[in-house]
Amino acid sequence: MGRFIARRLVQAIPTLFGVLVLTFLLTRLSPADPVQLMLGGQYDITPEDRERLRQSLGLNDPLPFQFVTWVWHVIQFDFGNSFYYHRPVIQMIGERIPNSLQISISALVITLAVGVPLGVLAALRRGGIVDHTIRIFSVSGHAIPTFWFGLIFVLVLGVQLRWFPIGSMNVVGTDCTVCWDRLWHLIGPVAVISIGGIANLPRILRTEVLEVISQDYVRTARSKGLRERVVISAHVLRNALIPVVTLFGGLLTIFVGGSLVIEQVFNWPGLGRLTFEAAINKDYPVVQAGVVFSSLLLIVSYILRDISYAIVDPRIKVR
Amino acid sequence: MRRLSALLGAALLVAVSCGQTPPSTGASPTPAASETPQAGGRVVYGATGDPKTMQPVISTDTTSSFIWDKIYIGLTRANYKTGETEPSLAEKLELSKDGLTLTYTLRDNLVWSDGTPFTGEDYKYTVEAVARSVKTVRKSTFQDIVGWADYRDGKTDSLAGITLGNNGKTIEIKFTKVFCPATAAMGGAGGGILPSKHFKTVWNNKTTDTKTNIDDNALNMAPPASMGPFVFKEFKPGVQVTLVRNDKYFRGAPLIDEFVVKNYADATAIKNALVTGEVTYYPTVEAKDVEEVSKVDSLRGFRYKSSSYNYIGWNAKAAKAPWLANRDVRQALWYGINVDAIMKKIVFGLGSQVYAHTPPVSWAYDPSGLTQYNNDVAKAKSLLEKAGAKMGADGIYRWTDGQPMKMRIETNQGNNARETILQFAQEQYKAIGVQIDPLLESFNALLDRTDPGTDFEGFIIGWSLGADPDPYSIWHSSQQGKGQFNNVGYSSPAVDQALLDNRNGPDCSKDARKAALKKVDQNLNQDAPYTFLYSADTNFFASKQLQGVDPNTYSNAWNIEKWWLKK
Repeated sequence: MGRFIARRLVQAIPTLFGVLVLTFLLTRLSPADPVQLMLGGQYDITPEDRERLRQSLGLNDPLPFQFVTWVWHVIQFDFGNSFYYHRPVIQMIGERIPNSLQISISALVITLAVGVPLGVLAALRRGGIVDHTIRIFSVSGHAIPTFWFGLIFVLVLGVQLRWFPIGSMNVVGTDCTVCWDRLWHLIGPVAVISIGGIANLPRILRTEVLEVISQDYVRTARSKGLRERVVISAHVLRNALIPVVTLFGGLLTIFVGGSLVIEQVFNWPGLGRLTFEAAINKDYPVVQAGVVFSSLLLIVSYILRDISYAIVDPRIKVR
Repeated sequence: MRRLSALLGAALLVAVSCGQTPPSTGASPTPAASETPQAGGRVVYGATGDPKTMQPVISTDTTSSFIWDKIYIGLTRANYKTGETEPSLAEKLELSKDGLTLTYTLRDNLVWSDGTPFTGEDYKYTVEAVARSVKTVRKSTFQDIVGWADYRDGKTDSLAGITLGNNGKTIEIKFTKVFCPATAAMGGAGGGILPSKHFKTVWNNKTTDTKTNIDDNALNMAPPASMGPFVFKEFKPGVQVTLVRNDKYFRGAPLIDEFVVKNYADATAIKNALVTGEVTYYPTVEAKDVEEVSKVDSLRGFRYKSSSYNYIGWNAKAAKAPWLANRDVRQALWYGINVDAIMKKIVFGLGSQVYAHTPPVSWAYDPSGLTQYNNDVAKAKSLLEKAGAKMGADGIYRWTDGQPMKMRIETNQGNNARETILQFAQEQYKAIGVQIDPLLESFNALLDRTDPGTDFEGFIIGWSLGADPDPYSIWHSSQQGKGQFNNVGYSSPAVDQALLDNRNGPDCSKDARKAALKKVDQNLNQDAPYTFLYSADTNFFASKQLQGVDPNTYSNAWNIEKWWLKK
C-alpha cells in the first residue's frame, strides 16, 4: 500500500505541473492589467507613479522569467505577497482553509448521511410513492444550480423571515468555532451545498442496489435465513457502494467548485471566496495559490478514493 | 482622493450638499434636543472586501481609507458641507503672499493614543515616507516641495523644504513654484499622518537601506497608535476589523465604544445586512433600493448632494467618427438626449443635472451663463445640418465625406445606470439620425480602450471629484498621453490658461480660482466635449438607534465622536 501511495504521488507531479503552467498562463494572458485595477481611475496619479508600481510588482519582467521564478518559489511553498493586501499569500490561504473545510466536511457528512439511505430506500421501494418522490427531488435538485438555492435561502429565510443569519461565520461580537452561533451560521451554506450531493447520490445508488439485489449471492444470503437488515448492509450495500466511491471524488470537485459560489453568497471567509475576489482583482499571487491548493486538495482526494476502492472491495488489488 | 466613480458603482450614489433631505421615510434627521447622549455600544459598518492596508502612504482603495482615516488624520480636513479646507490637528495655516511658503501651527497638547506627544516630526516623517516609498501613488502631490527630488533619490537624509519650529509645533513648507491646491493637499500629508516613533522601528527615514521599508512591514496592517477617534484593536481576515474608542482624541473621546468594519461580498449583501439590523449604517444605498430600504421601520434616511457626475465622452480624435471633432455635432448630441428622462429612470429624480465640469456642490460652482441643452430633436438636427451632414434615405445622416453617421458608444457591464444610459442613447440618437453601436465590456477593458487615442468614439463613465477643484489633468491639452485623462482630445488655449491660473495663481484666493474655473466651465459648456449628464444624490441610511449623525457631501462621519446609540 505504501508503494502504491508513493507511486500515485509521483504520478501526480505532471498533473501538478500542468496545473501550474495553466494557472500561470491563464492569469497572465487575460487582458486586464492589475495595476490599472489597483488604482481604479484615480486621475491624479501620474504615469510615472503607475510605472513605478508595476516595476515593484515584477510585472515588467519577461513571462518565462516570471514563470520560472514563481515555480521555484512555489516548490518552497512561497507564493509571494498579495498584490492587493501586501501580505504573504501562504498566510492568507492558511487562514481560509480551515473555514472552507468546516463547510466541505459538514456537507460531505450530511450528503452521505442523507443520500445513502435515500438511495437504498428508493431501490427497496421501487416504483412506489417513496421512489417517485425521491426521483423528483433528485431531478430538480440536480437541475437547479446551487447558487440559486443559496440566494433564495438568504432572501427568504434570512432577510424576510429572519430565521437564519444572512451570512458570515459569527454574529459580530461573538468569536467561537464550536458553539451554537457557529452552527447556526453553518446551516445555510451546508444545507445548500449538500443539496447538489444529495440529489446525485440516490440516483446512482438506487441503480446499483437494484443490480446487486438480484445477484445470486444475495439470494444465497437470504436463503441462509439472514435477516433482511444484515443482507442489505453486509451484502448489498458493500457492493453497491463501489460506484459511490467513484462519485466521492466527483463530490469533492462539487464541494471545491461549489464552495466558491456558496462562500460568496453566504459571505463565508473561505478559500473559494478569497480566490474569487482575487480573480476579480487580478491579484495573481493569490489566484495562483488558490488554484494550486484547490488542485492539491483534489489530487489528494483522488488518491484517497483509490485507497477507498481497495477497502470497500478487496478484489481490487493494489498493483 | 478623486477617482473614477465607476469603481464599485459609487457613481450612482455619491453626495450633494443641501442639508439632509430624508428620502421618502420622512424621518427626522437629528435626534430630539431633549435626549441625553448615552455612552457605549458598537457601530457596525459594512465594507466590500478586506482593507488592503491600514497605512495611508500605500493605500489605494476605499475600504482601506475608510479605516485608516479613523486612526491617522491630517493637519487640515475638508469641511463636510462646503469642501473648504478647515483646521484639524493644526489650529492655523498661512500661505505666504508669494504663495511659496505654507506654515501650519499645531494645536496645544496633542497626544497619540499611546500618550506620545504629536509633533511636526510625525508630519515630516510621513511626507518623507511618501518620498521613499516604492508602492505609493502620492508622490506627485509633493513634488514641488524644495529638496524633494534630492531626498527621494537618497542624496540628502532630510527633506529640506520642510522645517520645524517651536519644538515641532510649527511646520513650514517651502515650494519651488506656486501650487494653489497645495493648501488642501499638504494638510493630510497625502492621507493621514503616521506615528513616527513606532514606524521608525520598521523604516528609518535617514537611510536609503532597502532592507527596511515603509511599503511592506507589519505595522501597515496593525496601526500602533492613533490620533483619530478610534484605535486599532484587531483584524480578522475575511471577517472584520475592530476599532475601539480613543480616549485621547483631541475633539473628545467618542461615545461609541467599538467601531467594527465588517467584510461583505458585495453591495447587495451590505444592503441586506442593513435591513436585518446587522449593519448600523450604510452611506451609499443604491437609488433602486431606496424605496425598499425606506420601508424598513428601524431605519432612517439622509440624502445629500455628491461631488460626482456621469457623462458621455466624445473622442474628438476618433478615426471612425471624424464628425466628433465638430462642435456643432457635439452640441447636437447633447440636445439629442433627454437627460431628465434618464435621471427619472436611473436615480428616480434623486440628483441634479450638470452642465459643465464643476459639480453643483462645489464652492467654485457658478451656473450663470451655462446653456442647459434641453432635449430638442429639431434643434439637434438643424445643428447637424449646419455642420454639413445630409440626411440619407435610411434616416441616418451622412457626414461631409459621405459616410453614414454611425458610431460606437461603450460602457462597463454590470453598472446598471450606465447600461440604461446606453439604451437611452441608442434610441434617442436614432431619432436625430445618428446610429449607435452599443458595446458593453468590463470596467478594466473600458479604461484600457478609452486610453487617449483614435480607436474609440463615445463612452459612458463618471468622475468622482475631490473637495479642492483642480481639473487640470482632465482638461489641459497637454494631458493626452498614454494613461492620462484628457482622452476626448479636448484642446482649448483659453481653458489651458484658466486651468493654469487655478493651479499656479499666483493669486490663490478663492475668488481668483473661482473666476478661473468659471472660464473653464463656460468653455466646456459651449464646446461640449462631454455630454454632461447628472450628479446623483447620496442616500445614507442608518439605524434609528444611531443618533447624532449629520452626513454630508465631503464627510459622513466628521462628527463621529458625537455619535451615540439609543438603547
